[in-house]
Amino acid sequence: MAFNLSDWLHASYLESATVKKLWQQFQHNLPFPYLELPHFFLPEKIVEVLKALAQEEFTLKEADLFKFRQTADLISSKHTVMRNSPLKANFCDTKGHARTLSVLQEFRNFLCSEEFVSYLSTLTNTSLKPGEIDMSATIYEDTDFLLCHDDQLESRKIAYFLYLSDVDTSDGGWLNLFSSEDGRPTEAGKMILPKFNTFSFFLVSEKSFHSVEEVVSDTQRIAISGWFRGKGSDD
Amino acid sequence: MIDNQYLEKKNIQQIRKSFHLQKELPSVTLHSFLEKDSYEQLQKKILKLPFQHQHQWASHSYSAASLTPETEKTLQAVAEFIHNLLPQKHSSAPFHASLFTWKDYTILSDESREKPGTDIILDLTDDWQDGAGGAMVYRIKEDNYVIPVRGNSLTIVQRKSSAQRFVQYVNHYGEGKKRVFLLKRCKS
Repeated sequence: MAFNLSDWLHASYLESATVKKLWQQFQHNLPFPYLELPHFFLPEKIVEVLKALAQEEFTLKEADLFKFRQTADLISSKHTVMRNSPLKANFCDTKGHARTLSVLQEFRNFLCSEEFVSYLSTLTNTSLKPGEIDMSATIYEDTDFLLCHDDQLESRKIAYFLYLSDVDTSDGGWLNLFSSEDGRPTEAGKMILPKFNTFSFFLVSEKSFHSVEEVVSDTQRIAISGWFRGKGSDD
Repeated sequence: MIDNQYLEKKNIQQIRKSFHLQKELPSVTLHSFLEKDSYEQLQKKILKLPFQHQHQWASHSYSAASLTPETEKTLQAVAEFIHNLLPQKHSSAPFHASLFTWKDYTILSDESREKPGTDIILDLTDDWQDGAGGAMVYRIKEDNYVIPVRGNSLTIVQRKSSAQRFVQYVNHYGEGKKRVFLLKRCKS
């Protein structure tokens, strides 16, 4: 199935001058290659994605490294029964239920399409594998956190985050990108504050240490995130 | 020093029984372990120690201190109690003091993996909110065994090779408070 990038992305991100500029920024950004792209998707698309998420089941995940609520990989999104949403705003729509399922599947399909993966490969100067991504949604609420780690697993090449809520510094919940030395993180070098419809991503490597600051208020930090895989990596 | 209830023979037998109930992680927690005065004196001494903050972002953040020989000596009664309770050969490892406050934590890793042994934890934390984190957790495969924070409790845990220990991240409800405990790691 072919996708038109212009049906999904803000037009400014498709201009060749912008693509070139972003490609350069990605390579040179510190503490490691990343980009933070505000107003990335067409708003109507992202509002539909957020509405669709309202019907997904979020499960508490808790370990030494993290505490937050997360869906299963959204490839398996196939619920057919309305349930109470953990999201504060009630976007449930019984009439559009069948369409809700297809919204997430459609979004996932777009994200791992040849067209978008090629676009992202250009921005990041990496060879990414279309057709396969990890994708789940998370909600961070009061006291939720993700401690410092590098995301390195065999096939992960680009880690991405689509923010679906606004967070202020007083809420916590920002993404920290760390400087590192000799394979160890040294200090939080860059802070990315989640804003609705910002698409951020970074190159996964032995240097890509990052964390999510603890949420310290009565807010919901909602995001869809996962990884693109490199070409030639095993499944 | 130790509360009298724990020195009675019938109670010691009961404690031994409780210890072995959980096969995956033999353990027992004894609340109000020390007599009130002894607990308060020990707590005061420990809080005066020169704690040094240790921080490696991807591994741990907390403060640690070694006990003075005098304080180790006062804990001799505790060591003897444990030896009497579980008559196995334990190493003469000292107690170490750890202090956690807001944003402190430990993370499991291959580097933090320890050989099987017995952990003795003497909790000196008062006025701690349950939802603030900071609890000691033993992870065995996918299961977490949480030792809640409770001042003047003694917890004995027999760690088999599959069990790894970490301290939960202390969240903002722990701000301004101190989660303090003594830990003795005995090799089996």
